[in-house]
Amino acid sequence: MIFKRRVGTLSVYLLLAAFAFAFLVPVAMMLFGSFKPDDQVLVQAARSGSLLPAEFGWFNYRDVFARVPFTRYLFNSAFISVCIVAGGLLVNSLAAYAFARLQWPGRDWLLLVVIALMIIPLEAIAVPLFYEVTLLGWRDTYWVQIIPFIANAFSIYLFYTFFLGLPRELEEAARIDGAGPWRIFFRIVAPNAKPVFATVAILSFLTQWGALLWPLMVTHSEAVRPLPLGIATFYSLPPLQWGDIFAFGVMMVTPVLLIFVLFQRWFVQGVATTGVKG
Amino acid sequence: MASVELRNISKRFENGTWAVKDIALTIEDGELVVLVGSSGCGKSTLLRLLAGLENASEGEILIDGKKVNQQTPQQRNVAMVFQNYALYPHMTVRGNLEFPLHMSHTAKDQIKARVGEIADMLQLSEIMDRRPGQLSGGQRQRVAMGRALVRDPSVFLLDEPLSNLDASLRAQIRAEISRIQKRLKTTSLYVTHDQVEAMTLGDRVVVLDHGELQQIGTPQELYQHPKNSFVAKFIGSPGMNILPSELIDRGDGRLGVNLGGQQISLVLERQAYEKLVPYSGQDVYTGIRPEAFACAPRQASFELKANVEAVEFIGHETLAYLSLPGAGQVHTDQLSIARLPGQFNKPNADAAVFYIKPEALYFFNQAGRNILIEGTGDR
Ligand SMILES: Nc1ncnc2c1ncn2[C@@H]1O[C@H](COP(=O)(O)OP(=O)(O)O)[C@@H](O)[C@H]1O
Ligand SMILES: [Mg+2]
Repeated sequence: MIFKRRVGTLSVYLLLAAFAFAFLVPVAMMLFGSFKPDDQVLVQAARSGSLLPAEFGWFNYRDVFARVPFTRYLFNSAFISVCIVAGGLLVNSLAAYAFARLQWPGRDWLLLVVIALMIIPLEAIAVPLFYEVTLLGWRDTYWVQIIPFIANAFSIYLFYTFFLGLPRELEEAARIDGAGPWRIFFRIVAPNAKPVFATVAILSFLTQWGALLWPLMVTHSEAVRPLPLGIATFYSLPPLQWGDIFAFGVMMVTPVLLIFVLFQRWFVQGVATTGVKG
Repeated sequence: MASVELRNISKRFENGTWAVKDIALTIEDGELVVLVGSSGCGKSTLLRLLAGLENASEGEILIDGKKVNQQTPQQRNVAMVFQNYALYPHMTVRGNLEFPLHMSHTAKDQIKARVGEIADMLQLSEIMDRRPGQLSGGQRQRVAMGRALVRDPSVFLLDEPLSNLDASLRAQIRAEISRIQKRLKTTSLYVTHDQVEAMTLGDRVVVLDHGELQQIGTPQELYQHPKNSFVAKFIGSPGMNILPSELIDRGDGRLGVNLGGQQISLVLERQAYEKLVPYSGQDVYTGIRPEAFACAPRQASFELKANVEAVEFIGHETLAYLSLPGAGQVHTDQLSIARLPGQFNKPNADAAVFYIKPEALYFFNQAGRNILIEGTGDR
């Protein structure tokens, strides 16, 4: 009996380990490859199965900084993403609150429009949008990479469903206590909606951090270009320097990991609706 | 301090439900009125209309003689305790108590004084820095009361404030609410579905059914003079037995009642006689309170034979579930109930004899109206 169960557990663990290995290999390859000389990256990995470099060296990282203005890209990406995330949290949560709780003409109809907008990918509207920003004379700026992405249908939808689930009595109690809609939102609703703010922040940050198509279309100077366009330059300059690309990649994902770790706590915390019972 | 007047208030929701129909009600300054009715009868809706959380479809709401239909809850200066307390989960007890005062821009030192006062009154001082999640049900209840009372409201509204508490705590907090209300003399409207709560707490009690007002009165009035069979059945534990019957004119200037074949002769005062006489020969409903049954004859009591289907011994008294032979069909949920003092054993023979005084009988017409009170008057 016990033996049988052990074998069962063991095989499950083996399977899980195999999956984990499969998912981790590319990441490990990137990390270790970033310390290998360019000519050894692919050869070594394929032949010996050994991922570890023969000797560690920071030369690829030096090369990245020498070949492209990495800090500029990093700043641009951070600035653009932070603006979009911060602006998006504010605008989308307020819009969602208006959909979830306020009464105004055309609300239900407009909500349908928002839900419909969720399924339209950027690729489908990129060209008309491109004409629009060209007419506005916004090309090759930060704003052209920020403003179109602040309002986001999917974020609104996430906020909306969360707000619908909040106990109405909290807001009604605040109304009776004398708070208007703004104060109810900022002092009662938002503090009890931390998990959805964290979720939306992470999702929109990740989307923006990896954005490639739109920046490629609307920017041409390095002063405003973000990280994904930086890494793309390595692919366009032969010979392919895999070590440099990996080093760039490591430096690009590290900030994202940090953000994840920071917001982790908010996810786990969950909704503290314990003040409401019954 | 304020009086409240509802003038023919109705509320129709967008889905077409008339939750509240044509309610007229006055609450005097400092009075505690209890609104009672079964679930879904519109109690919360009426409270929310008064609070300003819903708009009345028809009618006027007056606080202190001023029409407040268009005013916000804050302008009306009402405070409300919600059924689930609705404490702000992210704030401490102190934060919860201070919030209404911050909203009304009260000065800092005044906030501190006022919150301290309320905390003392409700014995919250020990738990001021805890969050609602760390409190027991009774403590949450007291914090909710404190938050409502802290800004000294003109009208204090409570929506089933005890329904989430254990039975043992309920009686205790009920007494506390009564004590605080009497001390502060805040005009209060208290909603409950529990008639015992209503009877023990209210200066006056309002009975509501399907959004319509059935009767307003002191607990004694509702118990002794129910205006209709709904109130009669609702008030009392258990409520009044209502039996189909027929009024008969016995010819000698006296009336009798036929209760499923048992003829009971009624000795009536002139006034009662004149009200009942128009119904002679007609079907009426006869009402008997469970506590009107007795096992031994008393002066001028009549006999009523009934089958005892079941008995429940509950200590100081026994509930006997009776079916009257021939009184219509017997459904288990339509058994009459008798409340008998001490222990009562189910007799071996099916039928037992009970003794009832004729003046303990109530009569309701087909529309359910108490004939002895109103004759054919309204409601
Ligand atoms: N917002 C609403 N929209 C539609 N119907 C409602 C709404 N609120 C309450 N009702 C209906 O109105 C009636 C009275 O509800 P309520 O006042 O909550 O009853 P109670 O508090 O006595 O249990 C119920 O039939 C309920 O379904
Ligand atoms: Mg209710």
